[in-house]
Amino acid sequence: MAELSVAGTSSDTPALEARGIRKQFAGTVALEDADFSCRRGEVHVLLGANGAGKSTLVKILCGVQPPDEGTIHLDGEEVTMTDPIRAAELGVAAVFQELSLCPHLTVAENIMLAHEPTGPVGQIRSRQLRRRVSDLFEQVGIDHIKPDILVARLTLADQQLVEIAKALSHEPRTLIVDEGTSALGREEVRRLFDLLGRLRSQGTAIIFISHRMAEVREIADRLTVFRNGTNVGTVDAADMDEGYLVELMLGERIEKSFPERAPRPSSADEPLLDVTHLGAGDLLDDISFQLRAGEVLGVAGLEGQGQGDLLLALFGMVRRLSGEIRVRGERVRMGSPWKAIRAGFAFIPEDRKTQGLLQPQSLRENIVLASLGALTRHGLIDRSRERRTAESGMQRMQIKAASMELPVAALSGGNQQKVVIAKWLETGGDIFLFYDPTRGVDVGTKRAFYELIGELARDGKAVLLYSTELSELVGLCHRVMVMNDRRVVETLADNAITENAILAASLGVRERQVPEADAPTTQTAGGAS
Amino acid sequence: MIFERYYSSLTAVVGLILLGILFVYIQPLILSPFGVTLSANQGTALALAALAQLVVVLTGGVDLSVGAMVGLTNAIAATYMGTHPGIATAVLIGTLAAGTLAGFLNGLVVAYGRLQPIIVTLATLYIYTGVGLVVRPQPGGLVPSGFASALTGSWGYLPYALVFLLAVVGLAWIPLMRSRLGRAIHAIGDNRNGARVSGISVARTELWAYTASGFFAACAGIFLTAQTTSGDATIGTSYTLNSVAAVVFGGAVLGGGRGIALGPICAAYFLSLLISVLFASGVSPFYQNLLQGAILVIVLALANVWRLRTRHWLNVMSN
Amino acid sequence: MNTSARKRTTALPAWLLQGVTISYILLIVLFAIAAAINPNYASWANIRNLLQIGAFIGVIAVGQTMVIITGQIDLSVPWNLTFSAILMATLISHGYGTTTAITAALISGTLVGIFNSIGTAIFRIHSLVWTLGVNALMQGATLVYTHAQPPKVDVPPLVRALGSGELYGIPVPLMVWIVAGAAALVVLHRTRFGRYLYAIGNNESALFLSGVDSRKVYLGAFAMSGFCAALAGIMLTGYSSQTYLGMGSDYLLIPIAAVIIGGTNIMGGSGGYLGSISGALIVVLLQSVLSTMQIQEAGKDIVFGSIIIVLLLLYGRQKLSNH
Repeated sequence: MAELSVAGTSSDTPALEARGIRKQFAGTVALEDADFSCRRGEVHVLLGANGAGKSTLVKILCGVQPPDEGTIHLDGEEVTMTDPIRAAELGVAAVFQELSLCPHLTVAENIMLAHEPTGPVGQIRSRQLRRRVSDLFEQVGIDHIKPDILVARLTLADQQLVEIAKALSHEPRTLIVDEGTSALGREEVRRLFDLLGRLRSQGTAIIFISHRMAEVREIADRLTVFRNGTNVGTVDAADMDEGYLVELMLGERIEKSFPERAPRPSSADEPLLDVTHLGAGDLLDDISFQLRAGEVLGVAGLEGQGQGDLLLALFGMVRRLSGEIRVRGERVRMGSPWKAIRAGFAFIPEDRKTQGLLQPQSLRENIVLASLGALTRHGLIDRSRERRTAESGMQRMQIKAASMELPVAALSGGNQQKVVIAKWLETGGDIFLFYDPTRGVDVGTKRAFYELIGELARDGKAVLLYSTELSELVGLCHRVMVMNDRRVVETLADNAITENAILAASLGVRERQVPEADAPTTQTAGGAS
Repeated sequence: MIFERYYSSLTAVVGLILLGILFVYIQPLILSPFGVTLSANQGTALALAALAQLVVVLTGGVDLSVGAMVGLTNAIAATYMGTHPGIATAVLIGTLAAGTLAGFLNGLVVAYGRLQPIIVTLATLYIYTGVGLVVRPQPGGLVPSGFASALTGSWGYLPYALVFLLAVVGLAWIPLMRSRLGRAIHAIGDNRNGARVSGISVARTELWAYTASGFFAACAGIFLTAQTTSGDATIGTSYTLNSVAAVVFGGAVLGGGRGIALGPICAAYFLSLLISVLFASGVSPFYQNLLQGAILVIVLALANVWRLRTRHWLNVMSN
Repeated sequence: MNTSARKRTTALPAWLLQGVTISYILLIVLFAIAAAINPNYASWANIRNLLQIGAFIGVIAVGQTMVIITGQIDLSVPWNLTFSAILMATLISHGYGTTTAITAALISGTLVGIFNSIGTAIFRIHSLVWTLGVNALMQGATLVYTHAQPPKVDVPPLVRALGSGELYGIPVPLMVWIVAGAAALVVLHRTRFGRYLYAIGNNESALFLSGVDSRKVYLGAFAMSGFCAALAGIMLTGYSSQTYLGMGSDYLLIPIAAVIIGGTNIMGGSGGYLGSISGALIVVLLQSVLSTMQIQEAGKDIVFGSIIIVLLLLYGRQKLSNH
C-alpha cells in the first residue's frame, strides 16, 4: 500500500498546483520535491506533523517566499509569485498561522492593508475603505467587531476572524487557511465553516490546515499528508481512514520506540522538588506538585495553558511568584536563572536558535557557557580544563562534529539540541526542565533524547518534561500533570497515562469515543481501526 | 476618527498648556503679539525636526542625522540665497532638494544595505555636517530680510512661524500619512513581518520614510535660516537629540508603529519654551544644557518603566 | 604577539579573522603609500608621533570595543572625557594631590559608564539614544561646573608625563596604551567576563538562560568604557597641558571608526581588540595624511563617515550571509 492513487474523477485542470517545490533554510531542507494540487470548489486539507513543511508550502503558494526549485501553476498556467500582493492579484490569499496584523492599526486599516482604495492624488479613501470592510463583514457574517477599533484591543479569536476577513478582502479564487481555527471557539468555527462552505459552492479552492481531526473530518473534501517536506499521499475524504492518516503523518511512529523506563521511585522517598501553591499573576494559578529523584514527570495540555510558563517560572524566568518552591526540603528563593541554577535546575529552552545557543560561536564556547565559573582559576579561564569539559560533553551527548571549534550554526538541528543539553551536564544540575525538546527534531535525535532522559532518571536526576507530543509523554513519563487554564487539572500515573487520557483531561472531558490507544511501546498495526 | 491614537499626545499637549500658563504667570508680557511670536519662532525649527524624526521612528528606526541635515540645509540656504527674489526662491527649492537627497541616501543605505539605522545615521551625521562645513566653513551668510520676516513675523497674534508649520503639516505630513506609503510606514514599524506578508515592501517603505525625513529636516533648516538670518553647519547638533526627546515625549514609541504628529509638535514647543521659562525665572543659562540633558534622560527612562514591571525576563530582553 | 593572539581567536568565524587581517594589510598598505609619497612618514619621529596620538584613540577603543562587542555603543565618551579631565584639573587647582585628582577623574568616568549601563540594561533604551542623552547631560554638567571657564591650572608632572612624557625613548602614552591593550586582550579572550561580552552580543537570552546576569555584563562593559574615557581625558590634559571645553569633540566617531575598521561587528558578538589596534593606527594615519593634504576638519568628517558606511556594508553583508 505504497502510494495512494490521486482520488476523484474530475478531469479539469487544478485551480492551483505546485510541482517539485524545494525550499531550504540555513542548512535544513523544509520542502523537497513537493507536489500539491487543489481543485476549484473543494476544501483540501493539508495534514502533517510539526515541521513537515506545511507552513513553508503555504508561504510559497502565496508569494511570501520564493521556492528554491519548482513551479506553481494556476489553472494550468505557470505563474511567478513575486510578493503577496501579486499573489492576491492572481487570486491566491492566505490566512497566516502567525497573525499578520498590525496591532496599532484599526481593524479596517488592517484588512485593507497594502490594497487600500485610493483617490487621484494617492490619498486613501477612508470612507470607501470602511464601507468595503463593513460590506465584507456583512458578507462574512461578522457583526460584533467594529471596523474602527485598534486590533490590539481585540481578543485573539477576533483577531483571527479579522485575519480571515483580510484574506477574503482580496476576493481570492484560492484561499489558504493555515491553522485559522486554533484560537476560535466552537461557535466561531461553525460560522467559519459555513462561510468556507459558501465559498466552496461559489467555486473557490480552499486549502485548509488544522490539527483538529474533528474539524478536518467535518470540512474536508480531500486530504493530503506531508511528511519531512514532501507529499506522501492524497486521499478522498470519503475514503478517510484516520489510523492510516496518522501513520502517514508520523511515519516514524513505526520505528519509534521508547527505552525501558527506569523504575518509578517510591512515593515514600523525600521529594527532590516540592512546589506548593505556585502562582504568577495571570500566568500560573495555585500549582502544587512533588518531583522525586529518578522520576520523569510530564507536563501536558493544549497549547498555551501555562505549561511553558510553569517551566520558565521554576527556572526563575518569571518574576514575582507566589507560593513556595523547595529543593531537598530547603526553601529556595527564585526569580532569576542564576538562583535556579544554584538550586540545581537545568533548563532546555523551547527555541534553541533564539534562546539556547550562541549560533556563530563554537561548540566549545557553547558547552562551557554555564559552567565557566568552575573553569576559572585566578580570574582566567583554564583552557585545558575547558577543552576537556567540552570534550566530555560532546562525548556524553554523542555530538557528531569534526571539531569543537566549529560554530554551532554549522551543526544539524539535532546536534544543536544536544549541545544545549551538554551545557547542563556540566553544571551539576539535578532537576532538568525540558521545554518541548523534540519539536522539529529528526527521529534519530529523538531516539537519543529518549535514551538521555531515561539515563538522567537512572542517574538519580529528576526530569520535568513539557512536550506537545503525547506519545512521548506516554512513553517516557512516570507521571503526567495535565494543565488547563493555568492550573493542573489532573495528574496521571503509570498505566493510567494514555494519549486518550491526556487528551481527555486537557479538554476537560471524560470521553472514550476513540478506541483504547495502542500502547506506544508496541508497534501500531496499520490503519485497521 | 480613532481617538485612541490621540491619547498618546495628551501628556505633551497638557504639558504645553500648563507650561504656557506658568510662563504667563512669571512673565505676563509674553501675552503680547511680540511675545507669542518669539515663543513660536523658538520652537518651530524643533517641531519640524521632530516631524523628520517621527517619520523614521514610526518605521522602527531612529535618525541621528536629523540635526546634521538641519545644519546642512541651513548652511546651503544662507550661503546661496543672495538678495534676488528669483534666485532666493530657486535656492530654497534647491535646499529642500538637498535635504531630501540626504534623507534619500540615508534610506538607501538603511533599506538596501540592510544595516542598523542608528549606526548608519550616526555616520551620515558626520558626513552631512562635513558637507555643511565645506559649504559654509564659518557661520554667516546673507539672508534677505523679506524672507526672514515672511517666516518669523506675525499678523497680530498669529505668528507666521505657525502658519509655516501648519503649511508643512497640511501640505506634506498629512498627505503623506493619508497615503498608502504612510499606512505602510506605520505598518512596518508595528509588525514588520506582518506587513511583509501583507505585501508591503519593507525596503521601499523605509527608503521613502528616510527621504521624507530629509525633506522635513530641510524645512527645519529653512526656518532656522529665517530665524537666525545666517547659516551655520553645526547649528543642528542639538536638534538630533531634542527631536528624539520631542518624539518620545510626544507619545511616539521608539520601536515603531505608534505616534501622531500632534504630540511631538507640542513636545517640541514645550521643550523650547521650557528654556525660556527657566530664563524668565532666573535660572542661570549655564544650566540650560544640563536641564535639557536631564529632561531627555528622564523622558526616555519614563517611557520605558514598563520594562521593570513585566513578568517575563525574556520579554524584558527582547527589544 | 600577532600569532599568539591569532590563536586565541581561532574559535571565531573565519571571515572575522579576515577582518583583522584585512585591517592590518590595510594599515601596511596605507603606510607604504604615505611613505612613498612623503619619505618623512617612515621617520621614527613621525612614527613615534603617530603612536603617541594613536594611544589616546587606542585607550578609548579598549572600552568602546568591549561595549560594541555586546552590541551596544557608547556615545557619551566626548563629554565624559572632558568632564573627567576638568574635574581633575579643578581638584588640582584647589590644592588636592595629583593622585587624588586622577583617582577622582577615573571614578567619575566609571560612574558615568555605570549610569550608561542603567539606561541600557535596566530600562532597555537603545544605548545609541541613551548614551547620547548622557553625553548631553555631561556637557551640561561640565558647563554648570565650570561656568564655561575650565580652570587654568599648572598641569602636574605626572599628568604631563602620561600625555607627552618619554621613558627609555618610548612615549609614556604608548606605554599606557600597550598596558591597556594587553589587559583588553587578556580580558576579552581569557576571562569569563570577556566570554560573556561575546555571548551577550550574539544572544543575550541564551546567556541569561545559562545563569549569567547579563545586566552586570553590560555594567562592566560600560563602566570600562567610562573608565577608559576618563583615562584618555587625563592623558589628553597632559598632552595639551590644559583642559578645554572642546577637548572631547574629536573622540566620538574616531574611536568607533577604529573599532569598526578593526573588524569588530557593530551588531556585536564578534571581533576583538587586536583589530582595534590596527584600526586606531589606520585612523591616525588617515588623519595625518588628510592633514598634510590640507584637508580641513570637515573633509575628515566626510571621509571617516564614508569609511564607516562602506565598512558596515562590507562587514554587515558578511554577517548576514553568515547566518
